[in-house]
Amino acid sequence: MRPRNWFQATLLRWQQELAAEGARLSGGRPARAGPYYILELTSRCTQDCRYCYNVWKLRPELVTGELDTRGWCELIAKVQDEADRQLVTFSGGEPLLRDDFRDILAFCHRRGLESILITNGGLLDASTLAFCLDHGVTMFELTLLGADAETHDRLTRTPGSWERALAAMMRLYQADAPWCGVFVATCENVGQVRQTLEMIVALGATAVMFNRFNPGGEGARHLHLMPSVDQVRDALAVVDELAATYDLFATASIPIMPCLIDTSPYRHIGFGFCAAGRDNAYYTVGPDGRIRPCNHSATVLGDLRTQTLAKVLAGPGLAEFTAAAPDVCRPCPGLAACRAGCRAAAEVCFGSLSEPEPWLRANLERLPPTP
Amino acid sequence: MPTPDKFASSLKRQLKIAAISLLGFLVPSACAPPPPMCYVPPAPTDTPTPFVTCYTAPPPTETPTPTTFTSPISPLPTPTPTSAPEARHLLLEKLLADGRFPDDVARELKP
Repeated sequence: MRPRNWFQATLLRWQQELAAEGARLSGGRPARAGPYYILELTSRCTQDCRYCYNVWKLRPELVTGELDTRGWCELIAKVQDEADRQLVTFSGGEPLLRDDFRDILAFCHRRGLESILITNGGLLDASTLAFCLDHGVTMFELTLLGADAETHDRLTRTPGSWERALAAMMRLYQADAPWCGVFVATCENVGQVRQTLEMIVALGATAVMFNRFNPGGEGARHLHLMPSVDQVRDALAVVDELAATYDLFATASIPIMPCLIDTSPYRHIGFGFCAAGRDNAYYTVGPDGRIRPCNHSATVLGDLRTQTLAKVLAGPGLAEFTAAAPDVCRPCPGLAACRAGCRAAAEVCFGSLSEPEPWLRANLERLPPTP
Repeated sequence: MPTPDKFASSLKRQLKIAAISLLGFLVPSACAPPPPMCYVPPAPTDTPTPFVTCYTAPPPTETPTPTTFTSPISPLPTPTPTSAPEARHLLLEKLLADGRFPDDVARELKP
């Protein structure tokens, strides 16, 4: 076994606790092993969120088209066979905008696949929800950005989106469906984290995800939305308290770099770091069938329509993506685990994987002295 | 990533620091500055005032009779332990009462 310093050991412990918590909440079943595959069925969306990380919002050339029903079904079958995975995640854009969403979902169900559906909820009516529950959707992921319509709709730039999201959450509650409530923390809404998560909890969410705003795509045009370190620290305390009170499975999936915030006091939150290239990676297939290291990244690793998954993942693109780190992070003993935050955000916002990512760059003066 | 050699030397160093700290705690004299070999008390500058020269008991006073009894601490309501599902249900009721949900949603949620 390779020697580990305290920093790596702490991060490893968090990962183990997170896995154990996942198993507990899934009724003792071990959490599904990765890697995971996110399928961005479409780049179209019903909202125009200012914080959106979809890379094509900034670089439209990254999407060369949209697979048709047959194209998606063939690609899903290929991923299932080559990766030996039994779980896919539908995302977008807004995946429910596709007229053939039910056909694609039914295809997955026939092949024994479970699904996770990431949606803004605007199109999740009772009929669609019932169809999803009957066809293998085992988790829904919806975002609520504030405790009032004004806050939420200002971030989505879509009037009525708050009410529609809550209506969908209410339907999930009434159907007793498993769902995860996401809060994207920007400097505009972070002060409402408690009230917003209370609404999510009251509507029966089995999990909450606290994601600090991670600029990319449209979000790269709105860097000013980034919350401060102190705001995130205060919000984490609230999330931790609510997770303990309501027995929630709480995660912070966007990296919270330990050099900026000591996350050890927040014992009820699982902290995630960049998973690209690791066992828990979530490779992302774009609307045109091309695959990227994650849903935030603009790096195209290959084309799953014409290449095998093994060949794509063994190529130089992924190795380059995972090896990159800014110079300021190189001396840090925690780099191997922390990976300097989000490489994809650095790539999209500043054009290089080796730049400090936006949140780190905004807080360089807070970094501890180089050892 | 530290090499095994560096890791071992780092561990040794940390063990040493810990051992030194422990010894310092158990045997204060090990770390304390050495006492002076001989002690010469300073010459008195003034006649010290004795703390107690003699003691005169105060005259006994009447014990007041309490008229009412006041509990020293007003008791707080004993919290009732609630399970997470109960706590969530109570939260939903509270948010509904506070009008936190849009009307359409609140109408559907109210029992």
